[in-house]
Amino acid sequence: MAQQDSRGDGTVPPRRRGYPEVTIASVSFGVIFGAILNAAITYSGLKIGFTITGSAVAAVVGFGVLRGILRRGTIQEVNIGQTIASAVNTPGSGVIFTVPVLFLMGLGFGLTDPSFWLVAAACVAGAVLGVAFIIPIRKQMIDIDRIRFPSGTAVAAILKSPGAGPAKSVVLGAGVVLGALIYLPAGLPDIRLNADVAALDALVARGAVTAENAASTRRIARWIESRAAPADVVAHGHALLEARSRGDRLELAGPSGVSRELAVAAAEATDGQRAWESLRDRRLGWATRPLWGFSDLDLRLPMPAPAAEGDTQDQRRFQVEMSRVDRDGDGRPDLVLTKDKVNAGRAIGLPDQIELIFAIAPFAFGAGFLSGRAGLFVLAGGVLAYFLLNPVAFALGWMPETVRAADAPNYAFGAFNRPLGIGLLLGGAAMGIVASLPSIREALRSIAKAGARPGGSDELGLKWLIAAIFGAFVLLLVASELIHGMKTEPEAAAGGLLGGLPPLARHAIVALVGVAWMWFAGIIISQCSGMTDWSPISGMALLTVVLVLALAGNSDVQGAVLIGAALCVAVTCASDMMHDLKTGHLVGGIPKRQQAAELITAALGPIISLGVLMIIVAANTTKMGGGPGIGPGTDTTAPQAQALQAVIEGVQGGNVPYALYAVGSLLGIGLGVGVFPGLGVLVGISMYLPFHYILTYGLGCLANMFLGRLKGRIWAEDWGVPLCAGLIVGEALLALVINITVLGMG
Amino acid sequence: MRTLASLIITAALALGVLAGATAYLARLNLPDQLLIGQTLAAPAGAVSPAGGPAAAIARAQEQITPELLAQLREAGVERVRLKDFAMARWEGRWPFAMALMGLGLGAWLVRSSSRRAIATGVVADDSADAAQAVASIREAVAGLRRDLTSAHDDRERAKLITARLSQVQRVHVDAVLQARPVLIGRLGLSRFAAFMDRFSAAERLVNRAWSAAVDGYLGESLECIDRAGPAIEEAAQRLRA
Repeated sequence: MAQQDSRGDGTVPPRRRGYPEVTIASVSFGVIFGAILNAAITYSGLKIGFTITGSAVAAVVGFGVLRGILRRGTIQEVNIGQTIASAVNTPGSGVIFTVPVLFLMGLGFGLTDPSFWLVAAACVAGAVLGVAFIIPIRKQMIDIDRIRFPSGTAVAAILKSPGAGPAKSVVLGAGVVLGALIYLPAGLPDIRLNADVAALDALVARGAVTAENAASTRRIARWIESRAAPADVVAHGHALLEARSRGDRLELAGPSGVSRELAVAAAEATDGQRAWESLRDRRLGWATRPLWGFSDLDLRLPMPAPAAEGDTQDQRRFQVEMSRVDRDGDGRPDLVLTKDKVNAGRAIGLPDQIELIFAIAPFAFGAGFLSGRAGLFVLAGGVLAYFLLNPVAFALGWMPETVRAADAPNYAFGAFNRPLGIGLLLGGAAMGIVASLPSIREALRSIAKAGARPGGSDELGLKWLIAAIFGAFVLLLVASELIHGMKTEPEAAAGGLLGGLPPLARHAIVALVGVAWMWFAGIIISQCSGMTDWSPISGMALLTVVLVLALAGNSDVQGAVLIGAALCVAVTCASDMMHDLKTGHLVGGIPKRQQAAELITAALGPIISLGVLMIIVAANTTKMGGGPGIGPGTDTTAPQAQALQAVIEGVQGGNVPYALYAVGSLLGIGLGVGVFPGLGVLVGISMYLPFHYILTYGLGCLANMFLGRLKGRIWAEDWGVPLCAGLIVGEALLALVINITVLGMG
Repeated sequence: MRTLASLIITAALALGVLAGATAYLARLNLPDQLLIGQTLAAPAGAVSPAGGPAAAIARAQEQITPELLAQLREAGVERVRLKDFAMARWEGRWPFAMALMGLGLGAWLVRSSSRRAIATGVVADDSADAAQAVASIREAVAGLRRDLTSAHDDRERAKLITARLSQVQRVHVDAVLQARPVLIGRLGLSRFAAFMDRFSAAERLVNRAWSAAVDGYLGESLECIDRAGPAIEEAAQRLRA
C-alpha cells in the first residue's frame, strides 16, 4: 500500500500497469454517490430551494472513498467518478425547477399514470440532448477559447493535490477550512431549534420570531401545561380526522389562528394518541430560534445623537435621522452585518437607491479570483446597472412614485435590469456563436479528422452524437405528442403562432424549435458558467415558456412545461459536462471517456429526481388527505417551481417585456462586435443576478489582479487557485451539511 | 485609439442601457390616443393621505381611461409604465439609436487599431514570446525524455517528470495563453483555432503525463510524453505557418 501514499514531494513509487480511468470502482462510486446526492438535492430543492451541482463535493468524497477507503483510485478514476456523480445529480435541478409546476397548476399525475413516464421521457431526452449538443463545443470553449470554468478549475486543483506538493495541499485545505469558517455564521442561522417560551420576547425584539408565531407558541405551551386544548379546537381536529379517515379533504376553516395540523394534533393528544409534549413542534406552529450567526454580532448603523428634551426642532432632526437608519421600524438602527450580507452602502452613507451590498459568499470570491481580469467585465456590468441606471431611473421618475429610495434597486431589478440582462445574454451569446464559427468549424473538422490519427480520436465521434441527438429528439417528440393526446380540452382550442396547423405538425415544430433552443441555451449557460460560475437557468426556462406558449398558445401549459423541463435538464447537463471536461483537460483525462460516461449516466438523473418527487407527492397527498401534494401548505413548497408558475401566469396574462429583451439583445450584439464576442454575456449576467454576489465576485477578480501585480501572475495562480478552489469547496460542503441538518430537523 | 474606442463603447453602452430602460415608459404629454386604452404595468402617481403612507393613484393592470389620464396629469405625474411597447411612445428611441451607432463606431475603432498594430509590428514581440514559449515546451519535453534515460530508478524518473512538467504547465503554457489576443490578431481566428487545437492536445498529454507520474503509472506517463512531442511540433508548425 506504500505505493498509494503521497510522499510529500509529489511523487509515489511507480507502477507500470495500464493507467486505470473508467473502472468498476469509479463508475460504481459515481452512480451510487450521484444517486444519493440527487435524491438529497431533489428533496432539499423542493423543500427549501437549495441545489448544488455537486462536482466539487463528489471530487472530495471520491478522494475519500476511492483513495482513502478502497485504497485505490488514480486521479483519472476520481475524475471519472466525479464526472458520473455530477452527471447523475445535476439533472435534478432542472426537474425540481419545472415539473412541480404541473402539480401546482392542477395538472399533476401519479407514478402509474402514463404522464409520469412521458415527463420522464422528455427529461431523459433533455439530458441526452444537453450532453450531446455540448460535446462538439468542447474544443471551441476549452481548447481554443480557453474559458476558465471556475468550478471545473477548482475540482482539478483538488484532483491534482496529491501531486502538487504538500504546501499546495495545505493551502487547499486551508481554503476549505477558511471557506467553511466564513460561511458558517451565514449558514448556521438556517438551523433553527425550538424556542424557549421565556425567550420569546427577546426573540421577537431581535426580529428572529414574529409576534404571531410567539403568540401561537404561548398558546401551545398553555395547552401542554394544562394538558387540555380548547373544546372548539379539539372538535375541529376530530372533524378533520374523521374526514381524513373517509378519504375526504375537509376545507372548513377552524378556529382562528389554529392550523389544521395543530387542531388534529390537539385532538389526538386529548384522545391520548400522542403525548402533549409532541405539540412542541415547529410544523404545528411552535416558534424556533436560529443558531448563532453574523447578525448576532449586532453591528448596526450609528445611532443619531439623542434629541434635547423640549427642543422640537432637535426632536424633528432626531426623527429624520432615525428614519434614515431605522428602516425596519424596530426603534433601533438597522444592521450593517446581516445574516449573509454586509451593507457597505448604508455604512458609508450612500443614498438608499445606490445599492452597495457584499454577499458573504466565499464561493463567489473564489469564482471571481479564478475568473481573474476577465471577470471585471461582470463587475462593470453590475456597476453600470446599480450605480448608474438605478439611481438615474429613480432620480428621473422612471419608477412609480410609490417606490421608496430603499426599494428602488429591487424594483429596478424586476422592471428592467433583469429583462435587459436576459436580452444582453441572448445577444452576447448569439454574437459569441457567430464570432466563434471559425473555431467551431475548426473544432468539428478536427473531431472528424481525429479518427484517422494514430491511436484514434480523443473525442466521441460525431456519428454517435448525431445518433444520440436524433434518438432524443424522437423521444421528446413522442412524449410531447402523447401528453397532448391526453388533454381533456379539444385541440382545436389551441392558439399561438402555430394555431392553424394540424396538432401533429404543431407539436413536431414545437419540439424541433425546442431542441434548437436547447442547443443555443446550452451554449449560453455553458459560456456564463464558464466565465462566472453562474448559470441563468431561470432566465432560460422563462424564455422557453415564452417561446412555447407563443408557438402553441397560452393554454398549452403542459407542452410548455414538458419542453421547459427538457430544456432545464439539458442546460444543467450541458454546463456540468463542460465543467467536467475542463477538469478533465487540466488533469489529462481523455475527453471521449468522460463524454461517454456522462452521456450514458445523465439519463439516470431525471428518473431518480422524478421518483423522489412522486414519493414526496404521494406522502403529502396521504398526509393532507388530498390536494396537489406539493407547494404551499405542504412540507415541500417547491419555491423554484412557484417562481416558474408565476412566470407562466405572467406570460398567460401578457406580461412579457419583449421590447426589453430585444433592446438588450441589440446591445449584446453591439458589444460583441466591438470588444470581444462574449462581452454581452458577462455584462448581461451581472444585470441578471443580484448585485451583492457580483460585488463579492468582483472582489475576487480584483484580488487576483492585485496579487498578480504584487507577487507576479504565476505566483498568484500557483497559490491563489488552490486557496480559492478550497473556498468554493468549503462553502459547498458546509452548505450541504447545513441543509441536510435543516432537512433532518424537519 | 484603443482607449478612445473603449471610452466610446462604455459611454454607448451606458446610454443604450439608460435609453433601453425607458422602453415601456410613456410620457403623459403624449397625444391621448397613444395612451387611452393602454394597460398600466406598474402603479402610477401617488397620493399621501394625512399621516398615512403614499398610495398609488392607479394600480398596475388598470386600464387608462380619459378620466384616469386627466387625474394623473392633474396630479403632476410625468410618466407611467405600460404593459405594451410602441415605438411611437418610446422616448429613448433616438438615444438608443445613437448608442447603437456609438457601439458600431467603437467596434470600428477597435478593429482598425488592431489592424494597424499588426501592420506596424507592435504586436510582433508578444507573438514572438508565444513562439518562444512553444519552442520551450518542445525543448522541455525533448530534454525530459533524454534525461529520463539517465535517471537511476523509476522513483527518480517520476520525480523528474512531475517537476519538469509542473514547470511547463506553470510557465510555458501560461505564456502561450497570455499571448492569445495577439495571436488571434496575427493569425486570424481560423488559423489560431487550428494552432490551439494541436497545442491543447499537446498540453492535455503533458497534463496526463504529469497525473500518471503522480499516480505512479510511469508507462502511461512516458507514452504521453512521447505523444506530446509530435503534437507540440505540429502546433509549432501551425504557428510558424
